[in-house]
Amino acid sequence: MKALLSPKLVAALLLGLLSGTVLFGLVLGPVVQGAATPPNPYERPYPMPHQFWAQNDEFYVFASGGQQGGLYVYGVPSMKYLSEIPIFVEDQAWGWVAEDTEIREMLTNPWTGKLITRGDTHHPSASKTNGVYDGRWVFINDKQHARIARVDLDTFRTGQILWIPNTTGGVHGFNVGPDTKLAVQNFEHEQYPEEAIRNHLGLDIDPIQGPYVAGVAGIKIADDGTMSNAWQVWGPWHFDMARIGWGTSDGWLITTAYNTERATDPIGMFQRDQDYLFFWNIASIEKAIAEKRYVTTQQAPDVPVVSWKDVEVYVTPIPLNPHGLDISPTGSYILTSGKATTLVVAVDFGKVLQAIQQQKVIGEDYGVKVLDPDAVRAATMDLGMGPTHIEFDDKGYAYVGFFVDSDIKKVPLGGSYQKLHGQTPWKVVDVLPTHYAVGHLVIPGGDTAMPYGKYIISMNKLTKDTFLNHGPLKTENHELFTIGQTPALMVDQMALGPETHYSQALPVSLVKPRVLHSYGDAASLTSRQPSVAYDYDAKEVRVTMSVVRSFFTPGVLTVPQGWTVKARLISGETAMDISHGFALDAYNVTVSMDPGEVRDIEFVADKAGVHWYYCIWFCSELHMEMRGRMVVVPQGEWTPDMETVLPSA
Amino acid sequence: MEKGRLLSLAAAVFLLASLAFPYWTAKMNAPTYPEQDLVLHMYAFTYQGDIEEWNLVGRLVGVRVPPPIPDAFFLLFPASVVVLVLLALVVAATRRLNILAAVLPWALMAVVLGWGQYSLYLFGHNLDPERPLRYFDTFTPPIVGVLTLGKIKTYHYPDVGTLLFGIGTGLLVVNAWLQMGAPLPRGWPRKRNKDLLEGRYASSG
Repeated sequence: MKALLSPKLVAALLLGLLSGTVLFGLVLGPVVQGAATPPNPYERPYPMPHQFWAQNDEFYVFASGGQQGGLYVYGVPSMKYLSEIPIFVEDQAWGWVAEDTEIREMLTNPWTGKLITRGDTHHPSASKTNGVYDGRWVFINDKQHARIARVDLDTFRTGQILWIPNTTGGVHGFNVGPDTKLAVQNFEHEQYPEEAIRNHLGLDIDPIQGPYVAGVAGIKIADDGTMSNAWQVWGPWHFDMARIGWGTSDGWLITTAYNTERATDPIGMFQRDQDYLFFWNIASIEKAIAEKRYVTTQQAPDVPVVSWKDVEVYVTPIPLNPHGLDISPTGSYILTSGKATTLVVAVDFGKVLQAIQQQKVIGEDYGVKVLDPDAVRAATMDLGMGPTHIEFDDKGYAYVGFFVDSDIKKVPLGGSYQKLHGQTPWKVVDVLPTHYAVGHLVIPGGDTAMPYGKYIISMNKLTKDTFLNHGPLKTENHELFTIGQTPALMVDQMALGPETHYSQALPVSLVKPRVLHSYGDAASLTSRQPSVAYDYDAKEVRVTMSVVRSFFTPGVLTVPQGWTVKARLISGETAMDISHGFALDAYNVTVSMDPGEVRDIEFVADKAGVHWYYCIWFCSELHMEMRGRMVVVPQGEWTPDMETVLPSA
Repeated sequence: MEKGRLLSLAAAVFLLASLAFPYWTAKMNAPTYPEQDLVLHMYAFTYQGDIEEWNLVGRLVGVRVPPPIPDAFFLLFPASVVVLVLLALVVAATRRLNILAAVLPWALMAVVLGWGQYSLYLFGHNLDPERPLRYFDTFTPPIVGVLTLGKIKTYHYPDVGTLLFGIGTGLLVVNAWLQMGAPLPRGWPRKRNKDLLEGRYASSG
């Protein structure tokens, strides 16, 4: 017995036990566990612990709101709605109102002076460095009024709105370049532009009959995110979707046009057999400007407008009425779909460059060389009815949405991507049913040089019978699929208000929203002391009001009727999620303040009487009592001794 | 250097270092502040922490932080600590005043504790008569311990400054003990006892 328990034997037994445990744990354990537990890619613990999604969500989604006028924000994979970022449309719920002088300035047309509080956000495009999201900003366009906004991701607020000149609106495709130096905005709706542009283009345009013209606006983005109108290129056609290339397609602007017929009615827009994919050499645009081959307009005397004839541009035929236009992660394949067909085309940009070099052209249209489609295409795929947009994952697959088929089809890419998936390219390998009518799709990073994969979200245009009936106007929805396996699994969905077009999904680690706002600099803190000043010449009352739980200071403000009130509202809060508001009885004034935020508002006190101002956020247990009075003294009854006098500090 | 001098010098260093750290800390944990506890640090010279936020909450029940402490405290207390430091240095240099140096820190701490607890009594008993929420009766936060007001808890405890002060005091006590030639407590290393009995430390008295 003693011999059996020799130190060597005991050591060997212990070593064997340890090895067995490790082996079982690392190799056999997961196998056994996997066999016992059905795969569930979307495990949620029960009961759900507090902060579960705060700690486990992997991506922020910034979804365009369409006619909502801003962005929706939610988390993935929780599909939990987080917030809205109002941009082009006033939204008092989220504190975006024109009473705020800074917001009003952003929403005011610089050429007409008109306040515009309607909008239609379409294509968000996140800032990138080397073609990869960097988490600084999301830019987005307003189709209706030709505006671009920059949303700052440290505050989740709009920081700038840029108005695009020389167009009445109707813009569509918008894209930020791989290093966030340049963005492009396509003019979808054809224009009858200023005479300077018409003359420069040399086209015969009738103001009633057309055919009209359109352009692409280049927007310069400074290092601090400030946008400015850099240039415009105009030509005979309109321009729909837009992408700025990277990798293989670096230095090229790629656009589509679905109305190469130059028609002015819907039927006319379907008359040709094919439409065009455009390739613009960005350097050639800059060269034309450097060589002074441009005009400017009265509206925008500092924005050069270049003719398509003065730049290097090529087209190639693509299936009729294209909609999707997306670039694969290496920048090599341009996938585009013919909405009025069943076809999806993959254009190999390497072949495009070769065709340009070797002049493989099949003709000219308005002087633009038409590249031979057989020379530039990698594949022409017949995939289904109503193809729309395309996204890419990290494993070499493209995902194509189909409006009519109401599904997403997964297709392996060719070329170097075959090393990733090892499958025959350009053949459907999976079909993801959606409910219903896919518009855009989003895969985190799916429009960049580095897709994160893992999930795809189908942004559907119709929900029909998906949710409880809620009247004739149905909500939209976003359906979440996991795509790490085949078949993909639809694991969740959320109803989301009208009407998302495109979205951007950024890793949580990239986005660092601040708890507090820190508007103004430290020096301005000295002006935070409440004050009231009466200007009898300008008929203005200027008030600096402190707003902190649960008091407005001054708590009473006397104003002669008809005077203008200019108020600087300063939230003194520093705690997370303690917001305040300032709503004024009977006046069209409601503003909201994030913690530490400063708001400047302005209105005319034209209604006499006692008007209470009160907080609109349930900020503390004394929220209801958080109110003050604005006493508007009728004209003729005011005497200077009625002025509000604050007790000295 | 002989042990007594070393102990006194070390005590001076610890006492001096204590001035750089908070002596006492209060933390408030409330359901509406899940992100972090509100803190109040009392230093020898001053107080720091989430004062404004603490007072936004305190205003509702009629209290203000810090507890009512005369400005003179923030002058007298650090001055007293400096005196103790000087005294420890004198002990190290002269080997005199050992007992005084060991006793004075206790006296100072007793005064401060008493004063502090009285301030906390005033803090919880002189509530603002115009406070909006009057459902809390008067209360006395313990200088060391937990105060519970509904679901709001405040934790009060001595902080690093007090620890350093305590170590310095302890060193002065050990020094005095050694100087007195008293038998060492049970558990003291046997060799030391032997040394003591053999009078190896006799010259240091």
